[in-house]
Amino acid sequence: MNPMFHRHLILAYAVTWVIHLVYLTYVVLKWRAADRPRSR
Amino acid sequence: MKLLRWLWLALTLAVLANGFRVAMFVVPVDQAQGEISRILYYHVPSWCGMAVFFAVNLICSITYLALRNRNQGRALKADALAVASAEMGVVYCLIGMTTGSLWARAAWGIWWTWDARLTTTLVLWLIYVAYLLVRRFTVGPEMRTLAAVIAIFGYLDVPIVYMSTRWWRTQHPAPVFFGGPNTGVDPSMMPALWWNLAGWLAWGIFVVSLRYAAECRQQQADRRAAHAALEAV
Repeated sequence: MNPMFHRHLILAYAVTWVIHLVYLTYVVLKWRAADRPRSR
Repeated sequence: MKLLRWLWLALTLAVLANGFRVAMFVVPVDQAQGEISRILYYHVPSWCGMAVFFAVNLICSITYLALRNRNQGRALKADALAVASAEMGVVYCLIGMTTGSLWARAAWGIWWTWDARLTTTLVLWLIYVAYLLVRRFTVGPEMRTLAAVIAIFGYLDVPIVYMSTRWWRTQHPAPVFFGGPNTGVDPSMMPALWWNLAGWLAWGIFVVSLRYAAECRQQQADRRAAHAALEAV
């Protein structure tokens, strides 16, 4: 079996999780920022 | 509401964990492609997620335009859901293109090709990125109206992406699902697809609900700030 097949499969699954978790972090930060009172 | 959200997240992670187990260790590999075919179980749910959330964005954009002068409260809620679903759609589209590129490198020997499916998908992603940039860098009351109009025009590319492998001869494989006789994957591979489809759609709903709540909070904060500024005059 071509070792590239395994490498790319693992990369595809890892990249999916990384992109989702990065976006989730952005959403959580935005959610918390919207809760904070505005500075005057 | 908070408890429901945590329960939903726990259920989603359980479904995704089982989806991973079934995809990697239970279902057989495609005989022609071998191990690399397992990318299908993350690649296809990403496209389904993109289609679902861009459709939600379209419905919310139309709702916003229809209600903006009659019922501003509901119109703003529709707008909040529109931006949340557009962001989620862009994320799914990016994942679909990235996993597809990794699959293409292993299967075809190339990272990218300018065929109809890939090009129309890239254009779709750019349209929705432009939609988000307009929302980010435009100020004033017309921003939401302008964004809603862009969203409606942007969605026109979704059916073109879907039909591209039927209308044109492409490097991308012919339709695997709903492509007529002699298409589709082996039934033994379907459980992995269903589990991951359910898991990633549930994940999308969870994240969109959080983003929607954040946008509603932001709208309330903006309204309070505008009200305070008016009172100060």
